[in-house]
This record gives sequence, C-alpha cells and structure tokens, in this order.
Amino acid sequence: MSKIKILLVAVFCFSLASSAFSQAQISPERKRAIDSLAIEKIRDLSKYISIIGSKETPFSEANRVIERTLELFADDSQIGVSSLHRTEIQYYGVRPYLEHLMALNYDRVNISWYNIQYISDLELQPDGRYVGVITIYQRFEGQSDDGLTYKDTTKKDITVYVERKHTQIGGKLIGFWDVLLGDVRVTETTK
Amino acid sequence: MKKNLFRVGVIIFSFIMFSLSFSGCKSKQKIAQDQSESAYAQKIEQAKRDLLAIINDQGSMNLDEKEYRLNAIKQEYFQDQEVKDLIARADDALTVLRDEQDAKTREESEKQQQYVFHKSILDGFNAVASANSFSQANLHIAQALKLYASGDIPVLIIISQENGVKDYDRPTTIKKYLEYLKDVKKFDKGIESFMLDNNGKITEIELIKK
Repeated sequence: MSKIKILLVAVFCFSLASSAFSQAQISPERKRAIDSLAIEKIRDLSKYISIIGSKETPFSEANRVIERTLELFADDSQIGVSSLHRTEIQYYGVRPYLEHLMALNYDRVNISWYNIQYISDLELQPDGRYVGVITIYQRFEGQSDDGLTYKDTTKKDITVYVERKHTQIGGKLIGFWDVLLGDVRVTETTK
Repeated sequence: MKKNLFRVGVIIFSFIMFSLSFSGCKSKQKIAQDQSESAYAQKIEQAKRDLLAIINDQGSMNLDEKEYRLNAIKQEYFQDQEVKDLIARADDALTVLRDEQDAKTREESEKQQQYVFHKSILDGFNAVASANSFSQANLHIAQALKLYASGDIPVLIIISQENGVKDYDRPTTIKKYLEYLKDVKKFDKGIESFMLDNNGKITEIELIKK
C-alpha cells in the first residue's frame, strides 16, 4: 500500500515537473503571443473603464460591462484611487471601484489610457504561472454643468498573471492561456 | 405433229424461264440476307468501338453524352457476348464517374455554403464593431446571432500556433464575443473554422489573431 502511495506521489511530482518544464520550453514566438495577449487585456480594460465612466453609457450597458470587467481580474484584486487634493491612495475591490466610477458626480466624464507597456516582462514563476507588470497612464477629465472640472493624469502599474489551463469543448481538450489582472497600483498623480 | 412440238417447246421454254427466275429470286434473298448480316456485324463493331470509347475516355465526352450513347447501345439488345461485357464495364465506369461528379458537386456546394457563411459571419462581426451606438450595435448583435445555434456556442480564439499546437485565449461564447466587439469597437480576427449543425446553424467557431 505504501509503495502505491510513493508511486502515486512520484507520478504527481513528475507530472508537475513535466508541466513546468513544458511551459519553460515555450518558444519566443509563443511567448510574444502571450505578451501581446496580456497587453490586449489591458487595452480591453481601458475600453471598459471608459465605457463605465462615461455618462453617455446607458445604465444597463454599464452594468453589463462591469460584469465583463470583473472577469478580467483575479479574485481579491484591488484598484488604487488617487487625487490631486490628497496625498494618500485609497484601495478598493474591483466591483466597488467600478460602481464608484459609474456613479461619479460629474455630468461628463472622459477617461483614456495611453503609453501601455511592460515595465516588468512576464516571467515564469515556480508555480507555473507567468507574472509581469504593465504600466499605463490614465487621463481623467470630469466636468459638471455648474462649471466644476477635475482633471488629472495617473500612472498605474497593473500586475498580470498568465496561466496555462485546459478545458473540454465539444469533446476536444483545449489548451488556453488565461490572463488575469491583479492589483492596479497608482504610482504617480499629476495635473 | 408440228403443233405438238411447238407446245412442248413452249412448255420447256417456260420451265427454263421459271427455273431461271426462281434461282434469281433466291440469290437476291441471299444477297439481302448477307447485306443484313454485314450491317448487323458493322453495328456490333460500332457498338464495341463506342463502348470502348466510353470506358477509356479521358475527358473528351461529358457524362450526359456517355450516358446517352450507352443507353442507345443498350436499346439495340445486342446478343453478342463481348458487347454485353463491354456494356457492363461501361456501366461500372459511368457509376464511378457519376459518384465522382456527385462528390464534386457536393464539395462545390459545401464550399459555396462555407463562403456564404464565412462572409455572413464577418459581416456580422464588422457591423457590430462599427456600430455608432449601443442600440445600433444591439440590433446588429440580434441579427448576427441568427447564424448561431445559440448565444452560448463556444468561440475559440487562436493566439498562436506552432508545430500543429494551437494556443488559445480564454474560451468565450458568441454572445459575449459580440458584446465584446460592441465594447471595444474593433474586429481584427480572421475565421479559422466553424461547424454547422443539421439546421445550418453554427455550433462552434474558431477565430485567429491576424
């Protein structure tokens, strides 16, 4: 019985090791495809944030986009919020952040992201995941009909996790790269 | 006496003439029979040539023409064994040709159907991505969804492929994918493949990053 246990443990360890080994063997072309996929997810997030924040977005559509945005993030991820009027940065869960964004007290909100790039390349971790950091600049403009205007530019660092997963679709085993976003940290806030 | 001799002479002459005319008629019949047999033999030879032409043809005759000629030969009901054997071979050859032509027609029809679907899918994606408003995009989504068996059919997006191994993005559904296009306002993929059910609805679609 104990021999069977040892054998099972050995098989398990071997499968883990071979899985990690096979992921480590990724060609530069595949790696580039994964890098590009992660950047694309950040661009998607940028579009979603812009839609949710915009006052022109119908309520039902904004709520739908919030659900899509949540699917981009790993559980328990946090998003930092800064202001030119205070020094500290407040961190919110993703849903509260998005709901707050949707309910901002302006009549017009325009949010755009630019200079999206890696500041830390995706690196293979011992647990088999790739982890990297992508930085973005966010330009926020909020205007009220009474003339109140707030504008700032924040630099944010977003942790990205990429993991190889498998799923069964139509009887076929599909290997896919699951990109999940982690914390969004504010590193700079300027006018 | 003279009178009797004359009568005998007339009888003998008549007999000779009758004999001559009878043998002439007989030889005419023979000629006619010979001619008929020769014509039949010629018809058999022609039939054999035609059948061999049908069997060995390399594309100079189309299938309809071959079938017409074979049927014409069959209607002659030739009793010649060689002709019968050649008819059987021609029948086999035409069956093979007919099957090949049916398969080709089916393949062309499927290609045409694939082309029509391919274009309709792309048109649907592009219409949603280029919509000017959420309401317009939603109308295009409803229209595009008619091509699919349901809104839940899987959409697989290939991000890279190497040595036959495909790497995918996280699988999604067609409804979510169309909504994604509405949000990002951009469609930059190609169609790699799709599957249809018996009702002509798409049950699975594979896209590829351009």
